[in-house]
Amino acid sequence: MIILDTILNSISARFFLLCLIFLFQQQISAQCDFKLSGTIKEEHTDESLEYATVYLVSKKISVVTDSSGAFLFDNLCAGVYEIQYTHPGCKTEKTSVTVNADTEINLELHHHEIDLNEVIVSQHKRESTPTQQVETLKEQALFESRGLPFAEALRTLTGVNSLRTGSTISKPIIHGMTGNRIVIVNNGIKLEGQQWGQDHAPEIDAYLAKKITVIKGASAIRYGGEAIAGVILTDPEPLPYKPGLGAELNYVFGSMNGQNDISLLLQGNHVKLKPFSWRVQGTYRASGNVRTPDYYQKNTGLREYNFSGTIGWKKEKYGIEIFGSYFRTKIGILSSSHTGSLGDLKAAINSPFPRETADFTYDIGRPYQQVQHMVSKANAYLNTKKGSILFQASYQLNTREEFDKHIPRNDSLANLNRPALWLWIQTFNGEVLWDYKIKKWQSLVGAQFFSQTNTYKYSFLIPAYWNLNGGVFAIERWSNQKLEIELGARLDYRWMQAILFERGQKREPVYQYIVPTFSAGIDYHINEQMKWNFHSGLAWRAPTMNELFIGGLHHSTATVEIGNEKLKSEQSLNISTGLNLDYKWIEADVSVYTHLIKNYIYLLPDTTPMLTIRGYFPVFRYTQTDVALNGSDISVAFFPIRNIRLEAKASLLWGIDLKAKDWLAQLPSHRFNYSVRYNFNPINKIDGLFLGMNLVHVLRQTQLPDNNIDFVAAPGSYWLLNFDAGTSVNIKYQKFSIGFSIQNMLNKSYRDYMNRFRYFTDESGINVMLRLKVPLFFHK
Amino acid sequence: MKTRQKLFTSMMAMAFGATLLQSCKKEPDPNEEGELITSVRIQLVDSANSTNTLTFSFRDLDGDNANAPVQFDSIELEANHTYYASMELLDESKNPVESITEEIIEEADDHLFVYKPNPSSLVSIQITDKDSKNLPLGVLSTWRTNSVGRGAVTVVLKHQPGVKNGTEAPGDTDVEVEFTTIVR
Repeated sequence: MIILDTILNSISARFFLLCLIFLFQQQISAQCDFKLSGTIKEEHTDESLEYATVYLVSKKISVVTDSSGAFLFDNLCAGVYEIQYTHPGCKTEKTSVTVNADTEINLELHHHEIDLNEVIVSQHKRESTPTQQVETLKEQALFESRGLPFAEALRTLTGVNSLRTGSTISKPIIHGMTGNRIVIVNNGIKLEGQQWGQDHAPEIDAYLAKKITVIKGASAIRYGGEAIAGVILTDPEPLPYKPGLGAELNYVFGSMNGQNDISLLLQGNHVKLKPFSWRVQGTYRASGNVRTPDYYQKNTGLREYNFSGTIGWKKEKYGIEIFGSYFRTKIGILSSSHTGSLGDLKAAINSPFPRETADFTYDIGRPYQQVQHMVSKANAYLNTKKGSILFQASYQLNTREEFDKHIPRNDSLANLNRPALWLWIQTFNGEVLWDYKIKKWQSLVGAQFFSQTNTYKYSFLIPAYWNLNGGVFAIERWSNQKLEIELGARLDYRWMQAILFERGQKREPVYQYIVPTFSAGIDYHINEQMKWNFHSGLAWRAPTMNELFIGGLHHSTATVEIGNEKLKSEQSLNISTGLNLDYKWIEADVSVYTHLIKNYIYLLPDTTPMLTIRGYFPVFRYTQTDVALNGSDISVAFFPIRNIRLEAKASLLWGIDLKAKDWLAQLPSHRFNYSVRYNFNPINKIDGLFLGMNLVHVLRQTQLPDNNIDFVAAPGSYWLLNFDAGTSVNIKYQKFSIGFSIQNMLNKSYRDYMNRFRYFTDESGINVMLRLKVPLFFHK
Repeated sequence: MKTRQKLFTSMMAMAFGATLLQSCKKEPDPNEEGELITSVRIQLVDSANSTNTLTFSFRDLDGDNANAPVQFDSIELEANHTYYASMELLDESKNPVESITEEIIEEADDHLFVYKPNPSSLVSIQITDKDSKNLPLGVLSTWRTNSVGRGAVTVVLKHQPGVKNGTEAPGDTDVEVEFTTIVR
């Protein structure tokens, strides 16, 4: 295993070297098993300091002292190490120590009498924007991702990662950015929920999607300027306008958590009423406790019900479509992740197992979250001599309820079964687009409007607010056989009003923003096999209500997040360029990008902890800096013989805080994926039979700022082996698809930096998955 | 054809109009907030002189939100004295103020107060009440001071539904307040 690890590391390193010019590789040295231990005391009282942070600068590892003030770093190589150490209420001190044997040092800190209002200026970073780099997930690739959480399915694409909370809650990350910086467009509607939350997964039924497209970069002008990381489009199949009745049944089973997904779709069109088509679709998903190699994660089940219906009337000159959907999910939250105090968190972290484990069950207890999302939409088109006009109006209602671990002590209150937090948001969207062509210029111009109302009950996290937005945009595309040029511009006006109650006093501050966005892109066909592209986008993103006003404690990380009313808009410039090669036995797609973001909004750890009735909590405040997110997305496939496909993919990312001249924390590390697949020739009714293996290799996140605050060091690098097989069988003109896969084949225990529950639990273990797709079509 | 187009356009216009009109403000009701512990109040009665009653409080009226506590007393006791202590927890964010103590007594089997003097010689604290399983509860206790000194007493309330065993370790922390304590 260790040998394989080493080989992998070096393969990844080579691959890396091959593909990229700038490359650093941290490395391998001789004797590296020394220990550095010590204690930290208060200078005057001689009291041992618990929860002091000790940071090893060159290694970027930090540890927290235990109740006796002791700390330990192990596996150190000989050398001189700079150490920084601090404690809530103390100034950060530095020292250096020479390690050439196991070494012990005793450190002292001095408590302030009064908290100084000083803020560590440095830290953290994130994002920038690339450009119209598009990747899609459809057909076979989409089928193979069935059953995974929406964001996990996208991880097969380069440059896309996910921020997870356990195994069931997952949010997409594009080029290191997530949340408000990504727009998800589901069936033509910009998804509006509480997407700012780190543990708020997109409310999407992936089974309705026939195609998922990721547009990386700020150039998706059509969907609004805030999408500085990119846009994810999920599209269902167009309504069928051929007479007949169609059906598709999808079933997925997963052994790891007893997952069962069933999704049924029915659609039809009648020969006597050809302009009219309809579709109904429903999905049920259930899974139980997640199994890691050594234990079950208590209370990690999931239950999801969705259904949707569409009717359409289509003529040559005009058409109209009405869509409605309902999504409901209940997700259990790992019970050990709920902590009451910093001491509880530390106890949970120190426990090698989650402090509460359980047997397998489908039951979901407290804590859990329950989310409902309702969508209704009408859209229409009108074809005229001067192009087509498109209208769309939609309404979305999202209710999120978060239930705490404990029921209220008061019986009458407990009987009400209220959530600890109830969030409610409704959004109206309207748009008119005009799509026309003059000579070689294809144009799309449009006006969009939205109005949003947000409120809450039972506790404060973000304020109630009202948000109005109006925007106009134009996208012009010119093309000939060799060259395609796209230019876009957009202007939005945003008006927001928050409703705050501060010790009984009501305050209603108003914010207004004018937000421009520009984009430009070129695609050039160098020859038949090779394409070159260059894209750039300039975008502004207004701060969101959570960034301005959030105030509250996160039980799973025992930290307090505090908003900042003085935030300005972020300004992002993103540039990307790529080469695409498709030649006989090789397919390659290589791109490099940079996102330069001025006034980048992020959470900075505050040196002053917050005193509550449950003791001190670390505080993170929203602040702004300038950052650069640089990276490269690479995918190369070879076909040494016709049936074999070898593929290597890499998602590389470097995030830099330009003001602090340091790394930006909380970003995904470099990620590599190697796969081999054997495709059999069709035999009679069996078509598309394949066997494949793939290996995912994720490096340890070592790009951390000097004064990174974390309760545990970033987990080590890991690799996972997965197996895939699948085929289609043609029976009576119907194509049945079968997929079989084994994830984490070797049942490895590992933790991932981008999983917020890495403090508490290992990732899931071996998972045998079975997928079936039964399409049926009856001609009439 | 023309009329159909007109009809169509006006329908869409109406849909937009409705959209605009529907948008509205919706205000939260601050009185609907959930259960919160805002205040810890320790009452100490001098065993030698029951008219000598001392009260010390920690009050953070907005709970976990950003504002600092409005009151955080230091406990001041006389040396070589015995006090009978009773603990009271309040939710002062509500009007009228709600007492949480009664519910803790009702659910004594799920709760435990832990008192941690530092240094331990400063004051010795003995829990005097029990739950139905004869495990300590800690709403009532006896505090015995020794010689003159200075330090702290940390008051912890653990919520231990189903896992209470008389020690601090299991469950979640509902209260953890470190009172500076002076014995003179």
